[in-house]
Amino acid sequence: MLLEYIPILYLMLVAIGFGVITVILSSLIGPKKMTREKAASYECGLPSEGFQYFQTPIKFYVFALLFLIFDLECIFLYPWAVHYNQLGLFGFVEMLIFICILLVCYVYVWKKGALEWD
Amino acid sequence: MLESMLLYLAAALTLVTSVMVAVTRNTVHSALWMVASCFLLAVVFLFLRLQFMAALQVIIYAGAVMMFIIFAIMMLNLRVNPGRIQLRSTKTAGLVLVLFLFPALLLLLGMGRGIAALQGQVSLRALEQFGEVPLLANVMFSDYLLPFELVSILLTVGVIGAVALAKKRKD
Amino acid sequence: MSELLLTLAVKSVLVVSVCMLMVAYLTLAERKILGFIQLRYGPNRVGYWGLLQPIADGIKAFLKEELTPANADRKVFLLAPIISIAAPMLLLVVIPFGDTVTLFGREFTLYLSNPDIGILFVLGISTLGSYGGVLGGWASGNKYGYIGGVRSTAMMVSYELSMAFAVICVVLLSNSLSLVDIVHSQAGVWNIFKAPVAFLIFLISGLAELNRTPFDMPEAEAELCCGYNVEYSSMKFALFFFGEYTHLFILGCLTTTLFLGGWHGPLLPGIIWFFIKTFAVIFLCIWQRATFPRLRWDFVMKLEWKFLLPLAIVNVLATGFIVAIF
Repeated sequence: MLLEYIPILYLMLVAIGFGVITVILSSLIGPKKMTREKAASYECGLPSEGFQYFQTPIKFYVFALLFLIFDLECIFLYPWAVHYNQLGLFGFVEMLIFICILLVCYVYVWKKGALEWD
Repeated sequence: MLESMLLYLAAALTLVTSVMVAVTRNTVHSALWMVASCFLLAVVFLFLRLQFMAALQVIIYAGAVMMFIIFAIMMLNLRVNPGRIQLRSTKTAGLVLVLFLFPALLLLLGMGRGIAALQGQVSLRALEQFGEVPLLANVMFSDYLLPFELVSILLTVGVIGAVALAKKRKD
Repeated sequence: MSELLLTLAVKSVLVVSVCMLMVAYLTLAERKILGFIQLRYGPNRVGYWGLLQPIADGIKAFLKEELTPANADRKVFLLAPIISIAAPMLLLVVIPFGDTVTLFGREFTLYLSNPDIGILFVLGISTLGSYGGVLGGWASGNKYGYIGGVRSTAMMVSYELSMAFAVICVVLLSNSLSLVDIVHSQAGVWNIFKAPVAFLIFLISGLAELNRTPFDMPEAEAELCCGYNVEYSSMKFALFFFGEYTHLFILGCLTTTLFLGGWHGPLLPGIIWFFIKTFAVIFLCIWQRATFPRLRWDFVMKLEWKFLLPLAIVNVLATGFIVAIF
């Protein structure tokens, strides 16, 4: 089984190596004439106003949490799907209950307005 | 031989990255070390022949949970941890917790629960014969059916809590 | 053992270099196809029919000055483009380009690796790849980049959900997580005919994960300049760009593997069929870029959370019901 992971290790080394070497090479080859104006962050030509870092709206946080919950649910479905031909109709009913409970929660989130971008 | 050496290497790297999570001041850097730690833990699972667990570790922890944490950090705008504040009481509590939990963990290992994990129903031979995922599904959808269904209620509670918190200001 | 390691190493290097060459020419193909659709020539000065254009672009990107903004987080700023290119490149390892071939009296498999959990590997690594955008935007210390990064990642993870649910239908039909087994199970009827809804959901979510038009939200030129890569220059920018095209190639390969029967097809050898189908999917992705306008950000999220996700979940149940009955 571990043999299947040897190429994955190789490719991981190649992929990360490609990225690292490219970044290093480009910083070596390119010209370097740094000025203060160049180092300023790119906005619209005028001096930058306000903070570069500000709070992200809480909506993103809610969506990240919803993603986490539904991702968990989704992962539970994978063993079920692999084993489905042995579980048959009984397995279907099991999953129906599981998904229905979560659909109730989905409807709650929708009704509460958490899926809106306002 | 080579395999166990690699396993120890992965385990040691997991420890190192975990320590880095604790000692890094910048919160985003700290979160990134945690991603690395989760990923390396997945590698440890691989050496234990638990591929599905490794995949879960990457998808759920390194992917979803850490993404959630990074969004939380960004929401709170914690660019650099203000390291000046010394939380003495928290430190003491942490020390006490570690002093209690570490021997408890060792005790668990000594009782053989930790080491014997690959015996019984999920033995190495069963893994090779049936494959990990069918083995897991077989147990999960028959013996542990009720806990499995209860998980969905747990997830529902989590969602409702989050939405209630986030929507508070509007009401 | 050492011979095996060497063979695998040679194979890995071969697969990566051939695929990366294809990806480099994908950039040219996209510009040519868009030019054709919009009645322009597209690049045609460097080499015959513009064939040396990708190489010229690469050299140019190398020779440009590299800038790091003063208020950037230097380490993460360097890390983000590496993540963006490494994740899709790593995914090449599980793509089954073909079945086995016999060369010099030895059998070779036309895929590098076939782990039992192949499709979960793909989902996991592509989730890790979406860190590239959010970190790049955050680390550059630029308002536009920051908004672009957060948006792109929120969109990518959201669409990953419906994609994962669409993949479950395929797993239900072939009862395996290994990509090679999934292709084997499609020897008779392709999955696109058994699960057409799942195919559509997969393709739409795939486009969103690629940050391509209609979903090129993070890069919305008019509002955000260029999104998360606004402060990147030189080869670091090129890495983001190249990573996106590698991802497009991977999406083509995955769609072919999961829904279009992989290497199966009459007359021609399997690997040729595989690439015909892959490039047909890629052509579709390029074509729709020239056809559809960009969606507004709230519509993008609405489409996923109020339409695709519930549809994908119900679709899983429906597929399960049909499989259980027949």
